[in-house]
Amino acid sequence: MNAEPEPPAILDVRNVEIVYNSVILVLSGVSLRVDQGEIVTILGANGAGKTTLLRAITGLLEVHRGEMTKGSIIFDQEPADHADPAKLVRAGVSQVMEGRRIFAELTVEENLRAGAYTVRDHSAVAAAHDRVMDLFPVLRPRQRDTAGYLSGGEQQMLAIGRALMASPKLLLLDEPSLGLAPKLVEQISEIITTVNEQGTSVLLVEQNARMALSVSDRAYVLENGRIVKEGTAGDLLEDDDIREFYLGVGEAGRKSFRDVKSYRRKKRWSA
Amino acid sequence: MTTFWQATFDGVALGSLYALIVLGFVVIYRATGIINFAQGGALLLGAYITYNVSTSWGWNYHVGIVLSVLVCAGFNVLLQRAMLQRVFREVVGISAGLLGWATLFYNGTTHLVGLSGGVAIGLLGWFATARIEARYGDKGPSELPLFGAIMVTIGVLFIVKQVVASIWGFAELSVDDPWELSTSRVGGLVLQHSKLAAIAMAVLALGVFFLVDRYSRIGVAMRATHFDHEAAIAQGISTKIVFATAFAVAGGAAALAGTAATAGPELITPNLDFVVFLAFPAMILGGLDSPAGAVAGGLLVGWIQNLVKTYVATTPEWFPIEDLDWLGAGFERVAIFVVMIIVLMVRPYGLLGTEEVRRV
Repeated sequence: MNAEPEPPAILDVRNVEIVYNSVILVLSGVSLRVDQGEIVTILGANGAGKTTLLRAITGLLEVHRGEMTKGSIIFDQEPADHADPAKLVRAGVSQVMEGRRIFAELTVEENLRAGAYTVRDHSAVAAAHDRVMDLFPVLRPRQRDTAGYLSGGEQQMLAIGRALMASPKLLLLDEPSLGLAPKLVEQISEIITTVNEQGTSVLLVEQNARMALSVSDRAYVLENGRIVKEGTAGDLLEDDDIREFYLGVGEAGRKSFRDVKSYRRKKRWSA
Repeated sequence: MTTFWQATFDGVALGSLYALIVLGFVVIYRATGIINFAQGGALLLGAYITYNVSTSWGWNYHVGIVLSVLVCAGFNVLLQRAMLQRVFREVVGISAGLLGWATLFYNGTTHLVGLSGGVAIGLLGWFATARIEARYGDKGPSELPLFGAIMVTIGVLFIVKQVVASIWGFAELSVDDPWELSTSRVGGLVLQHSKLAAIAMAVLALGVFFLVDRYSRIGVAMRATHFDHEAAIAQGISTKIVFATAFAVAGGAAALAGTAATAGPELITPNLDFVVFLAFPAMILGGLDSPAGAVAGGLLVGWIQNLVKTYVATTPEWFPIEDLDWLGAGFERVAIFVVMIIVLMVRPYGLLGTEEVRRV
């Protein structure tokens, strides 16, 4: 839309194919890019392959017996496929995993220190810690508490804070709004914007399309392991299919069973 | 009352030994989920290296302790890297090779024959497994399952025991330690200096471990890995380093325990590894994944063992049954398991084991 020269991509995923257990094809021919300073969303239903895509980017496929059989992933001008997860974290990719996955039995403080594992420099850790505390003031009085006893919203904030401890260049968020009250979802989206303004590119995976599209610059729609739509957030918000399937604003009136069937037919863009 | 305090002192000395052994079990279990029975091997090796350095070579005893800790830490890391993190065929190959080598070596062949025979047997095992896998396996080389890893550690224990026996022999040896048979008398109590030293050594080692575990970067990483393996990897924590550290710590602790167990009037034999199986209930009692539980369980088990031993031998006056000889010799070892079962009925995750933290 604008004529400025494109800033270099922080993340470039090209034509990726991923197979689990040598037989189950989860992603095929998926390409996407996140430019420096962008917030990019991946929308998609359950089982579309969103989490798998994130695993491929962060090197966690191996844990799940997954393998990238085709394509390439380039992070910050360096090839990042088949890379060691620790190396990727050091290079600047941090992930907030689906379902928060905080270390419930450790304290808040220890969770944050685990997030800073790759940072050797003490002053850098202290600076990251201050930044997280400024972003999430609710965590400040609770630093010595066992993380598992935080509320759901606080746990999500801790998970994001933990990922930020490594001062990433690219933050991957896997369904940060999952299971949170609308007010908290709003708070999370504000935090995502703030983090982005502080210079971190964001790749957001969401089912809450309204929230995701409201904060992001561009979005991809993933269906059955393929990218079926991409565009700026504004364009996608106007898109009829997106409006119907992800935002729930269709033609007025109650739907009959026939419409539901047509929904299922229509939904397979890629078929 | 003197009898009670004497039994308590001896119990604490034995208990601190158990605490060190159990700490090794717990640290490895916590990081990898493996119960490493080869701890007994590290303990044997540690005891014999201290013996070798201090007595055979006549060096300073403390140098012997340091060397044995280092060698056992290295031994454990090697065990983990070379055996437990491999695919199936490699494990079978290495195990067959070691077993072949140990058997040949034990039967008095020369080093050349022993080693080349071991290598040949190992390669045979490797190829045989690879063939079987290629023919009957569903895909590629399969990884060693957790249970398989535990079985491997038992095998390694036997191999180490054989190797130790063939190097140092089966005879009971006396270690040339600085305490010998010296004792102090406090009130009516006889305090053996070697036992005091064992307690001091355990306190020091455990203290260092707890500080590291609680506050250091690697300590947090070890605990994080235990609670959520994948999330830990996602933080950039290297599981390789975490596993190696856990095994090294356990090896060092086992070496200290082995050294402490053979100090003073105690003698050293290749059957010393038996103490590991006595320490095992202490691990279950304390909680499989809790280092603090290791200490509590170890001390409790040592204490109970000594109390029972003392009072079964000489029944106290207030006790209704005069003669307890019918319990048989070594009843104190049974008593440990009785206590363990009672504790597990009340707290199934052990005294200090982690009860899953969940917000209700």
